[in-house]
Amino acid sequence: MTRSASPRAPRSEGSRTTLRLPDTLAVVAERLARELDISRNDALLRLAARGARLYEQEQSIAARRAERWAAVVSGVVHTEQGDIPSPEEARHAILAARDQTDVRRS
Amino acid sequence: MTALWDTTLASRLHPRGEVLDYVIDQAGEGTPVRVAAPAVLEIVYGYQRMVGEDARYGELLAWFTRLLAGDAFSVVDLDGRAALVAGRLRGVLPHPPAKRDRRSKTMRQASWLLDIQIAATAFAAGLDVATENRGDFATLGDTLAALFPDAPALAVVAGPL
Repeated sequence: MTRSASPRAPRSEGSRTTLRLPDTLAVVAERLARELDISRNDALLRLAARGARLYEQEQSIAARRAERWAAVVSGVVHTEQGDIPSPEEARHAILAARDQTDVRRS
Repeated sequence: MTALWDTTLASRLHPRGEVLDYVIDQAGEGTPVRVAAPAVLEIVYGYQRMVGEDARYGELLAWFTRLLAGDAFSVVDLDGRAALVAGRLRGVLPHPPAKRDRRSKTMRQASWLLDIQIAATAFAAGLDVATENRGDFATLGDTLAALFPDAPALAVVAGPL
């Protein structure tokens, strides 16, 4: 089948652009075009759309990760003035939990 | 899919089955399934403790090891942030919710600790949790919401299959 027999991509909206295609991307686009029997431009659009979808997903996960962490570390703590357990009490609270004891009562 | 698989889902991975097909398809799509590191621990522990009495589990263990080494799925680590969140969760919910369970108290406690780690791993990584054990993870999600009210909530969703 010749390239001209490939089905044309549906007319799409959006601005036109011209760009230089790296060889590595051209090879992948050609392979996808052959596989799906579509034009190279259409293959490039499909690759770009998939990449954009992945990018959006990763961005959304990264944003939620940052937002959650900000909620975990919110607020400033002043240990100099605060009433906090002594070093011995603090260590006991950690190690006593290993023995399943209720440290709040000890 | 932006959800992290827990043990109930990841334990369905098997050389013969549609779950493996799904996982391989997702890897091929560039969106590999994400599995929590503590779930990997539970799966491998389950196989390893059976090896002594049934050699077939040795084969399964070797298969799973190759699958993991081949990056068929993505393992999300329990990092420092997740450990901090897990510690706070465990402090509020030291014991699993009471329900009928044939396992020993020790085993239930161990599983609960791993569920806490999985929930914290998902939370810290910005992911949701995909599980067949939605009740327990909903409890953990509610506790996270109470601990960190300003954080985007941890959604608990069903598996894709």
